[in-house]
Amino acid sequence: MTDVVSNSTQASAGTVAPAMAAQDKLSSARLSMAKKMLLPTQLLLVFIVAFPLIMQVYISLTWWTPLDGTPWYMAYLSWSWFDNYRELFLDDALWGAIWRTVLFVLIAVPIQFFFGLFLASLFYEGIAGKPVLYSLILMPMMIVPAVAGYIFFLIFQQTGPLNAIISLFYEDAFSVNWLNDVNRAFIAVIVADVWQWTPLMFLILFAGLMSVPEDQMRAATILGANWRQRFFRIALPRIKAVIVIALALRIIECFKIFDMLFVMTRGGPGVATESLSLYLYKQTFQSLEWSYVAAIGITVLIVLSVITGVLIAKAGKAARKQVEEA
Amino acid sequence: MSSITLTNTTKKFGEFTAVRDMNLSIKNGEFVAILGPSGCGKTTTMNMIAGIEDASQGTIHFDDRDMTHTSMQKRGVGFVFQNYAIFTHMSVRKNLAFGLEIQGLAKPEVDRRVKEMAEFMALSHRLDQQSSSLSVNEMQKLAIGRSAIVEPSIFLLDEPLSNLDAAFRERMRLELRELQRKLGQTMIYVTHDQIEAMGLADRIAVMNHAVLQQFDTPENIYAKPANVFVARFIGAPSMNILRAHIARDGRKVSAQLGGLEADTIPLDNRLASLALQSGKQELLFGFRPETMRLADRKSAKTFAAEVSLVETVGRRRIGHFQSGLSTFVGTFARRIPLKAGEVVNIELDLDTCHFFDPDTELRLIEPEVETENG
Repeated sequence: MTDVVSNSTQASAGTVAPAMAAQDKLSSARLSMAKKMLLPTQLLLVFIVAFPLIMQVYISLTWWTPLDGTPWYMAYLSWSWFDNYRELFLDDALWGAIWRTVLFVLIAVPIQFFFGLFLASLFYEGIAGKPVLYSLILMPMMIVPAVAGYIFFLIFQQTGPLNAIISLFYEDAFSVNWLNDVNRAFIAVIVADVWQWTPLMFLILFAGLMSVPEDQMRAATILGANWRQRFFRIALPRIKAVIVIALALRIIECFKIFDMLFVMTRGGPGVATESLSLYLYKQTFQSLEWSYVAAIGITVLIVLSVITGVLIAKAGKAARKQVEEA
Repeated sequence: MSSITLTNTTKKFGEFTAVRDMNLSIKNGEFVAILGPSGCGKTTTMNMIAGIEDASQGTIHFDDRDMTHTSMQKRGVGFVFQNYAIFTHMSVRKNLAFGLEIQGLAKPEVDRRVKEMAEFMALSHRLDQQSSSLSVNEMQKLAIGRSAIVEPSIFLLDEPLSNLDAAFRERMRLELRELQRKLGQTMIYVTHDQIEAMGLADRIAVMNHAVLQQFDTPENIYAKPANVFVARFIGAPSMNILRAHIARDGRKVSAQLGGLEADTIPLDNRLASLALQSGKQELLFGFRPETMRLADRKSAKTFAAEVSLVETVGRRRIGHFQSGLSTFVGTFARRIPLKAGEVVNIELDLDTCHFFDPDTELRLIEPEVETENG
C-alpha cells in the first residue's frame, strides 16, 4: 500500500498523463486488493454451491449405493457412465410421477391464478371490510405446508367435517372416503394446494394492480369503458410482467410439492398422488438407489433450469418494456 | 353541446371543504377557465363536473338533466388529465381508437375518424408507434385527441399546458381555441396561469379558498374585479391596493395616503360619491400599475411620491414608489426616465381606480350604473 501512495503523490507533482497512469495503477492496485480479500468467501461459496452438484454428477455416473459398503468417493469402482440416465428414460414409475406432477401443476396453478386474480380485482375495485378480509385471505399462506396438509388430512376423512357438512344437504349420511379413492385423492390434494397458495397469487397480482396508474383507469372510465373493459384493456396488459413472475413462482414451487402430499396421502392410494419429489424421496429412503436418484435429480435440475430460464427471460423482457413505457 | 349548471355545489373531504356553495352557470358552447392559486378547489370543481368526485351537497345539471349522481362512465364528458394518462402500453392508434371501440363503432368508421383526428393533431406519422415513445408535446396532443375523437358535448381540461415548454404552450393555446371552434363544445379549462385564462376563455371563474370569487369575462375581471383577491390575482404586476383615509374639505374629497397634502390623492365625482356612500373613513384604494402617469409638474390632479427602486424588464420600466405610509408599483415605457431617490408627481387615470371595503374586501360599486354577477 505504501508504494502506491507515494506513487500517486509523485504523480500529482508531474504532468497530467503520468497522473492518470498513476490513477490507473492506484485503482488496479485497489481492485486486486479487493479481489484478494474476497477470495476466501468466494471459495467458500463455490464449495457450497459447486461441491454437492459435482458430487451428484459424479455419483450419477456410477451404480454406487450406500449398501455397497464403500464410501461415496470410491464410487468409481462401480463406474457405469450414462446407464442411470438411460434407465430413467425407461422408468415408468418415474414418468408416471412426472406426469402426475405436471398434471397437478397444470390444474392447480391456473385455478390459483384465476382465484387470485378474481380476489385481486375485487380488492382493487374496493369491497367492504377490506382490512379484515385481507388478513383472512392471507392467512393460509402463513401456515406451514405440512400443517396445512394435516388440516386437510382431517377435513377429508371419511368421518371428517367435509362429509358432515355435505350430509346436511342429503337425506342419507354422506360418507365418501376422499383420500382412499384414486381420483378423489387427487382432487383433495389440489384443493389443499389451491387453498394454501391462492393467497400468494392474490398478493402478487393485487400489488401489480395497485401499480396501474389511477388516472389511466379514470381516463378509460370517462371514455365510457365499463369495469370489464377497463380490466382487460388497461389493467391486465399493464401487469403482464407481474403475472409472468407470479406464474413462474407458483409453477416452480408447485413442481417441487412434497410436504403437503407426504402428510395427506404419502403419495397414495397406490401412486395416485405421488409427485416427482415424493418418488425421489421413496427411491432415496426405500430403495436406497442413490446413484439413480442423483441422475434423476440432475435431469430435473437441467429441465427446470431451462424452463425457468425461458420464463424469467420473458418476464424480464416484459418488465423492461413496462419500465420503458412508464 | 350542453350547458352546465352547478347549484350550491359543495365538496367536503372529511372536515376539509374543498369547494363551498358553488353556483356556476356555463352556457352552451362557452369556453370557461377556472382560475385560482393551488389548492383553491378548481380541480375539485372540475372533477365534480366529470363525475370523478361526487358532490357532497348541491346539484350538477347538464342542460336540464340532473347529472349529480350519474357515474363518470355515463356522463359523456371529455377529460384531459394534467399528466395526460396516455395508455402507454398501446400504440397511438389504439389510444385514439379507444373511446370509439368502447362505443362499439364499426371498424371502418373507427379507422376513418382515427385518421381524421391524427391529421388534425399532426400525429399521422406516429400512428403505429408505441405511445410511450412520444414526446411530452405529442402526448399532450394525443391526450386531447383521444378525448375529442368521441365528440363529447363537454370538454374538461386540467392544466393541460402546464407541463409543456414555453414555445409549444403558445402554439397549443391557439390550437385549443381552434379545436373548440371546430367542435363547438362547452369547454372548461382549469389553470393557475392568468395569461392562459385571459387569452383563451370567454369567461373566467376565479376561485380562492374553495369559494368562487367572480365569474365574468376577462375584460370585466380585469377592469371590474369583484374584490381585493381578484384585483390582486389578475394582472402583473398586481393591482396596488393602498389603505387610504377619506378626507372631505368642502366639496373636495380626497384619499390621504399619509398626513401631508403632498401625498393626498384628489378624487373625481365618481370616486368621491363612492367613498361618501360607504360612510367609512378608511377605505382600500386600488389602481393598476399600468394606469399611472408621471406629470411634468404638480397640479390639482397629482400627488407626490418618492421613487425607491427602478427595475427594467424588457421594454418596460417598473418603478417602486413610496408615498405617505404606502408603497406601490407603476409600470412605464422604457423611455420614461425614472431615478431612485427623486420625488415625482403622479397622475392616476381615476376612471380605472377602485375603492374596496376594508372589512368585506368587496369592491364598492355604484348601485344603478353597474351590475355585477360574481
